[in-house]
Amino acid sequence: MVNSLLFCKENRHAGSLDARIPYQLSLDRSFSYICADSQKREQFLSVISDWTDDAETISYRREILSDFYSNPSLLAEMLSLSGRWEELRLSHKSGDREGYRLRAERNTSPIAAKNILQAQALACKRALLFIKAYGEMLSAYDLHSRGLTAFRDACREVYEHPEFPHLITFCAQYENFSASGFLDFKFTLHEDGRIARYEWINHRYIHVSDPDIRKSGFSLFKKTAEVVHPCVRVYPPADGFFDNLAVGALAELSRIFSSVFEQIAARLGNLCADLDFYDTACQYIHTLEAKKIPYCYPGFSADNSMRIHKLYDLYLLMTKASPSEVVPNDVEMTAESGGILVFGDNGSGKTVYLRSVGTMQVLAQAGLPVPCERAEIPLFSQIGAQFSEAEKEFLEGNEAGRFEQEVRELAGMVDTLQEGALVFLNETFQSTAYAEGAEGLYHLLKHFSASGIRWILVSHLRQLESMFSHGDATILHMAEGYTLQSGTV
Amino acid sequence: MRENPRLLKDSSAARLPRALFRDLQMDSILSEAAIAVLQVPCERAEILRRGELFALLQNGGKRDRVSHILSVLTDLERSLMVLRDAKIPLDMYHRRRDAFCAYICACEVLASASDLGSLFGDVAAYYSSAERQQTVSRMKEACRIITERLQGFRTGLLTFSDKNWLTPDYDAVSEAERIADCACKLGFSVPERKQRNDKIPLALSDALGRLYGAEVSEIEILFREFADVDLKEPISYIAEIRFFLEIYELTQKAEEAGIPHCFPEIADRPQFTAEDLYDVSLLAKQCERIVPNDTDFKEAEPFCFLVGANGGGKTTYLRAVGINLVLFLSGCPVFATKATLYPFQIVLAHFPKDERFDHVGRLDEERARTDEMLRQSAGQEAFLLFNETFSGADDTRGFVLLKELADRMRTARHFGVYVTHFHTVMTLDYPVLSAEIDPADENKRTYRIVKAKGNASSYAADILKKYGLDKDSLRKRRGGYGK
Repeated sequence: MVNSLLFCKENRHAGSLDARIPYQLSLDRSFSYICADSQKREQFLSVISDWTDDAETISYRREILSDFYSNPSLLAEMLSLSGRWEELRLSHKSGDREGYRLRAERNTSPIAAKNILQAQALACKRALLFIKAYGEMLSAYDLHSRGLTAFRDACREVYEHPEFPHLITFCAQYENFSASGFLDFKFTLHEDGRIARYEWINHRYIHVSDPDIRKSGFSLFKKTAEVVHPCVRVYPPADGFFDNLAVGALAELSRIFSSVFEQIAARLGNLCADLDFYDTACQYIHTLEAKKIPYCYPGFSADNSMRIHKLYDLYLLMTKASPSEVVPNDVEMTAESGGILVFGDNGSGKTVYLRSVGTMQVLAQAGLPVPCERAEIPLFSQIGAQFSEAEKEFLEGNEAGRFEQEVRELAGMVDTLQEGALVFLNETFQSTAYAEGAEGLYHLLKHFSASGIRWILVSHLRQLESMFSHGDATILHMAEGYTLQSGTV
Repeated sequence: MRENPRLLKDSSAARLPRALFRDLQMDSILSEAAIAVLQVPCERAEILRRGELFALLQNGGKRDRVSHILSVLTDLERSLMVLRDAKIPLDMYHRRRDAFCAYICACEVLASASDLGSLFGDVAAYYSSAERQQTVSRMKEACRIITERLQGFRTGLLTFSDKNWLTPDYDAVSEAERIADCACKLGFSVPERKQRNDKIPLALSDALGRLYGAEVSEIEILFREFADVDLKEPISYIAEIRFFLEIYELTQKAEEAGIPHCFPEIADRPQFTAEDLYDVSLLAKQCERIVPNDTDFKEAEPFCFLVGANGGGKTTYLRAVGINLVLFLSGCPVFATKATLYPFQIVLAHFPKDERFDHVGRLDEERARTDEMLRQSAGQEAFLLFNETFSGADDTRGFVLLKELADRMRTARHFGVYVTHFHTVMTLDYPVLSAEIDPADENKRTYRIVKAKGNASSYAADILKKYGLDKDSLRKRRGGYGK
């Protein structure tokens, strides 16, 4: 059974995005227009932040998204079923906690132990039936994604197994367990004579020859030799012997049912949360379609070049009254180029450009389509960002200057980013003398390039333009009308 | 009946006061039990025998043997404690069987310890006697039979309805096993079965006793056969072995800190000479570098004063002398590269007390204590240590008392060291040691104790330099010269 609808294999996480990046790229605000449910949105953003650079994982998600997009009722049914599964999981969690408390305090009575056993057996049975329900639901659709078909097959493998009804029967038997009639146990002692186990057994194993029952009368028929089973009476004093015995034996059964439940829960993983991601993703696609914005799934370039045609900024698309007010731009970074330098006046659209590229990269690597006509991009192992908006984080009394804070942030990046990363820099070092800032930035950008870290910087520090020789970086200028022009070297 | 031989003989009449160990800060590096042993100084022959065992402990294989013996004896002690608490018959049978097994092991390891020096050799001879070997052999056979009988009690079935029954178990499969089997076939793992570890209930013990009556009678007869055996006897070695291992561990800890140890030569005439003598109590303070000192106390100059800067290591020197002497007197190795020591009969120390003197003044209290020390050591070969005694008095009065005390020491021919800040001791006819900056230390931060040259160094300048507050250091702190 699959563990996740987000990752096709374990350990495909490349790491986590810095928590500020979705905020800096305004992804939280963009998706608040797309998905009204804040909990789902949070879940969606947390998936996006769980960074992956694995092409197989990205493709795995795209396939699942495509299945859900073409079978909207399947997503609705699965969301509904998963909601009920989540309720069961949560109630089991709280019930198990109660059971643990009782056991830990060593004051569990046989009645409480019986109640815990009944609850665990019921929860186990319901969890098993959920597997069946998921399997049957998925079997009713024509699916193509590896993720959903694997999930369906794994469910089938369990519920079509001949032992499945037996386990259900066991669950049902103990769900309605009653402590009346015979209560039969097996005990085992350790080598040192201490009690090792008390176990519940079926009465058919008990053979007793009660000496108090004498056969009376006579028979004309010849008596067969009577089998005598050795046995003695047990006189439990009032020291809790029977209670201990019963609680120990019932707790053992509870533990098995609880363990099976936990394994089902682990195998179903965070299905509910995963489905929230796909639900939000479907809403995102519907929103783009409603606004008649072109979108595509980017291809992955083999040579590390980036070519995007007519890329829209998602946040502007969501906030502007009409998509026609949003100017799309192209992005091109050759394989040889260490990064992109974008110059422009205030209000020329530099930050929007940076945000649109950042948003595109983050959404693409989460397995989602991006708002552009076509795109071919590299997969980056890490993302770093340093935005001037951080200025607002300054608090009164913080004596560290803004320049120092920027330097500290960048030092953190230099420490953590490795080859294959992409860095977004927005008006970095604008708070210091231009010449000093430019020189500092130059050395930093050269360091990034030399370390195999790509970068995009928007800045008004024009001194940088002359520092980069031809081919070191792609230089662009924001022209009037928020369009880009290639720069001079 | 012959008594079992001891590893630590308590033959000395004198007992060193507990306060000595507190003053020397030995309670920061050793346990109370070890200090109790050190309180009883040994005779020359016993020092040699203990030294032999300490030397053997340096050998990893021998040390493991001693540790193993300790572990076996500790097991026996634990078994006997558990047996003492056992009240339920079936539990008692198991505990007594365990105690027998532990006793057998203890006798066997002690009997085989003849290669661990003469102390263990005596013990081994005692436990190898034919009578004891025969007892152990019979006990082994009894344990085998008892274990076999008890094995038959290990599982059973209980049924509770209008009457409660116990029956033997033949092939019962528990419900837990059946469900677990089913779950496994479906690909689920099942938790390992939880093992209890409870004492057997009286009701179950009683029922098992009746179900297996013949076996129980046989077990009881076997136990009665050994009613006269003193199972506790071997555990009397536990504390003694722990003492040896604890001192060994101290030497190891010291070695890790770069402090060597040695087994001193035993002098025929009173003396205390050592090269690179260390104060190991500093190990407890995590000092980065512990500076050793040489000592040379002989009959010609048995007593000396020690003066010098505060923080110059005077008290450390005093402790180094006291600690190593006490260790030597119990046959332990001492912390020096080389030493020749005489087994003094008594070691006493006078360190300042922190208590409030409610009824008598501090000076009176100190005089009373020094009088008591001299009374205790009268007629004995004593080594006395004084740390800033009479420092509470004014210079004139304190000096008079100090001289009086030194003269009494000389008359009694006692050995000793007297740490004082009265620099005027230079004028007395006694040897004087002084804490001087170690010329070998480029940083000028460490001191060594040397024979005074006539004046007791420039104390104030030394202290200021040590803490970087002298003129040059302060100028450097300001960032340049001439400012």
